[in-house]
Amino acid sequence: MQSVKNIWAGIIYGSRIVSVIRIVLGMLFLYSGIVKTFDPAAFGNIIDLYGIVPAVVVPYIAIVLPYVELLTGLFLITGFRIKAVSCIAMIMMAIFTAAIAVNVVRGRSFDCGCFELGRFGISEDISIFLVVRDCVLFLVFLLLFNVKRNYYSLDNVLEKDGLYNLS
Amino acid sequence: MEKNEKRIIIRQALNIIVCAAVLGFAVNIVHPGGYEFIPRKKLQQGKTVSISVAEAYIKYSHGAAIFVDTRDEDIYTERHIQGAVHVPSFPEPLSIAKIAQMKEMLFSEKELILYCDTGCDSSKEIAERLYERGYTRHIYILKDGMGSWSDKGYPVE
Repeated sequence: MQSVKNIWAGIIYGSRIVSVIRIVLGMLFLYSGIVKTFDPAAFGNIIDLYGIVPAVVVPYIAIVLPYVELLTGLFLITGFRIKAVSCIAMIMMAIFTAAIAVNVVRGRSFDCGCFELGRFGISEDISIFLVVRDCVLFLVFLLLFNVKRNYYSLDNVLEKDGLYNLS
Repeated sequence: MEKNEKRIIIRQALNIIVCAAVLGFAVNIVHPGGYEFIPRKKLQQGKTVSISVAEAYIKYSHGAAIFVDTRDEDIYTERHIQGAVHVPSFPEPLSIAKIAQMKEMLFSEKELILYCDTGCDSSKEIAERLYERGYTRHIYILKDGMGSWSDKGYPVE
């Protein structure tokens, strides 16, 4: 029991594994954001399929969301403003989970347009599995939000150099 | 977590979202597959529709349309479709004044058929000005203009 507590305490304090997870998730977000920027109209059509936002709002989301993902990915990889981007990612995950869950309840099935993994032959059709996956991702970002020390990160370098105290 | 730290994180998160929004809208302007935002007022507007001389004559004989001559004043005075009113496209101040003067008639229940000569743009310009002033229905533009009307022997004065 004590060893489990120690492992948990180690994770919360920050370990290299947590940092690698952060970088991998950052790459996933960066990839997903970049792909979505290629064809905003196609992404808009997917948002429309969810049927939870008014049609008039769809273009604005289709234009802004890919860049939020892109910057989130970039900041996670570089480890800059980790708490802020983890916060954004948690909000996104909460919204995506709710949107997918609503459509699972409605009994609908279509490509969720989440991480564009369909290009690698990985199905991302709306299902309960995606709800669970996004819940897990939410918890991972919650963990990243609470991590005290981030390896391989700009935040760490800036904190070491005391540059954050200058702002 | 301290209250001040929370505030800093929220501010940083908002800054990132604002940057993403600015970046997104800036790229959208030049993106070939981007969205084009059209003013709602413009979406509600009618369109200009080309109408053949034969169809225009049917509307003329039933008194269902107002014919608007958009050519210069001297050409209009020389010869125009019988009963047509004159709203020139040039000079612009005169054109705008004429539209304002005849607004009640032009915006009446009758349809509008604009005409000029073959290959001219003055009818389109007038149509644009009418839409800018709140006209919402379709506006007809006579195909091949005054020449095709008189060639058919339809009434002129």
